[in-house]
Amino acid sequence: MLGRAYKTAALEYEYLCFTAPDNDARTRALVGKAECLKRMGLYADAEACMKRLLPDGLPDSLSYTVYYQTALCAYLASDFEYAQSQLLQLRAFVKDSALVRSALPLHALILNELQRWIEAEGVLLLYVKESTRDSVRELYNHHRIPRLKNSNKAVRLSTFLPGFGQAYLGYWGEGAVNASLQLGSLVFIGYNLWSAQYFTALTVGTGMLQKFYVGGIHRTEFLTKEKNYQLSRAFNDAAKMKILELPGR
Amino acid sequence: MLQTLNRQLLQALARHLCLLALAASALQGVSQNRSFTKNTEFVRYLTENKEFTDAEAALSGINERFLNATERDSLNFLKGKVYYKDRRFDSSCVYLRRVLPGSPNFTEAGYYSMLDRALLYQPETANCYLDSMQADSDRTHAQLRSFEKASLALLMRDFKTFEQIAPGFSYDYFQVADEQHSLVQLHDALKKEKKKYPAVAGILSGLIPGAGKIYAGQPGQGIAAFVMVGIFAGATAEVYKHSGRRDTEFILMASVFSIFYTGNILGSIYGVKTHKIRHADEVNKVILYNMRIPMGRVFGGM
Repeated sequence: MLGRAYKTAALEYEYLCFTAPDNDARTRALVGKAECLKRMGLYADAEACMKRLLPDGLPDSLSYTVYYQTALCAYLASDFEYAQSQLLQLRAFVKDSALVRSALPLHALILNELQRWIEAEGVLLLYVKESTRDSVRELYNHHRIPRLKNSNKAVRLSTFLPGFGQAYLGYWGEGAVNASLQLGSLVFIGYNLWSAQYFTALTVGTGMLQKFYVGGIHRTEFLTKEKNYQLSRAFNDAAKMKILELPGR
Repeated sequence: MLQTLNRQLLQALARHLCLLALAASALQGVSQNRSFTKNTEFVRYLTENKEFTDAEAALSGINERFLNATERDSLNFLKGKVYYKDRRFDSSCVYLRRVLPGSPNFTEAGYYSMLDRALLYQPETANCYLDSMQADSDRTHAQLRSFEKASLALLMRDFKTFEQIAPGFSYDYFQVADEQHSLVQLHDALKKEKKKYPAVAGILSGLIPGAGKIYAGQPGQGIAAFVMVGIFAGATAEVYKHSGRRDTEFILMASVFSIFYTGNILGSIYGVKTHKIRHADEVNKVILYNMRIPMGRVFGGM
């Protein structure tokens, strides 16, 4: 019922946009429509709606709403780079410093998602009161910030020490299996060479070895992304609630 | 902090209540508070901006009870066109078929409902729709009609009917000339095509691994199959020569070879079948694409 109401309201906002006499009225209509879409959970559609806006020549408060809501919709739609660009424009074009400051928690959340935690800490320190700065520093303590795994290092380990790339990422079982498969292929090749079955050793044996070796390296690349995502997610989800509760100046 | 939270909460609640109030009044059907002309202008605006869901919602908000016969006709036509642009051809056809004879949009509605059926891969029904339409004196329409009829014949692979209609193409009307040429070329290409048989592909792959895939039009896969089956055949022969048929390694190698060999044969058979289906789909897409373009030129956009 509520979903249907928001859907109808979104349509009426679109009509207001259609009949808007100036950019001001058009902006308010589209911001209203984006709000309806947001409440229906259609964040990508809300972001697309906000992208239709032209913030030039708008009063400061409306300009702030446009940039902030666009950034928020983009953040909810996981388009973090675009969200970040909107907040940078907000800081450049909105003259009211109180309004700019109120956007800082969202900016910190976006920077967290972009894995730029040091910058996020800097942004939050500008936002909070003197008395709460310690809690921000504690939140972004270097022991708590995720130590992301280096993709190049993991791949190099898998290249020269099969199985060790996966082990470096914490996937010991997979590393052991991959190493065993490659070792098994080498044993197969060796056995066939010793039995003078050269064709089998050259074709079947090296084919198996090549598949497991290259497969291990590709798997390492994939697991690095997965591991780093898990580490970032764990920190960002915990930090999100704390950031939203922080009092501003 | 508590004061800030309370203020934020109250502001959010106020916004929520305003939205709900707006939505509640909207639920009563605000579309009917606007004139029919304003509503249709709004729908055209939404369609031009590709907001088809909103356009369909705006149309369904118009209460037909308050419309006269002409407006109802226009509404059905507009609904049909919006659904057509949203690629919901079944719904489009339903509304376009409701447009009455005597309406200025009747001819266009007839052609688009025919096209809807063709796009739903129901060329026989589309053909019936085209046959039931009265010929008019407009020569462009006459060329369009014969072109669409020929296209439907080609969709059904009815070369005899196509060859009866195609000589009537004049190629003089720019709205349809290019597509007439393309259609005739497509017909010529289809007639020259050699039929491929799955059984032949299977037999070829049985004799020479990979040959069936090459026959099916997949040379890369054919070469890969030849190499893989060849490797396992060679390995199996080598192990047999050294250890005999009772050896475990021979049994293992022979099993793997059998799997690859059988797979190569089955892959070739299915390869021909899927190639036929895929090729037919591609040809039909080209025919349907060519059917749409002249319609847009003859009748214009929304």
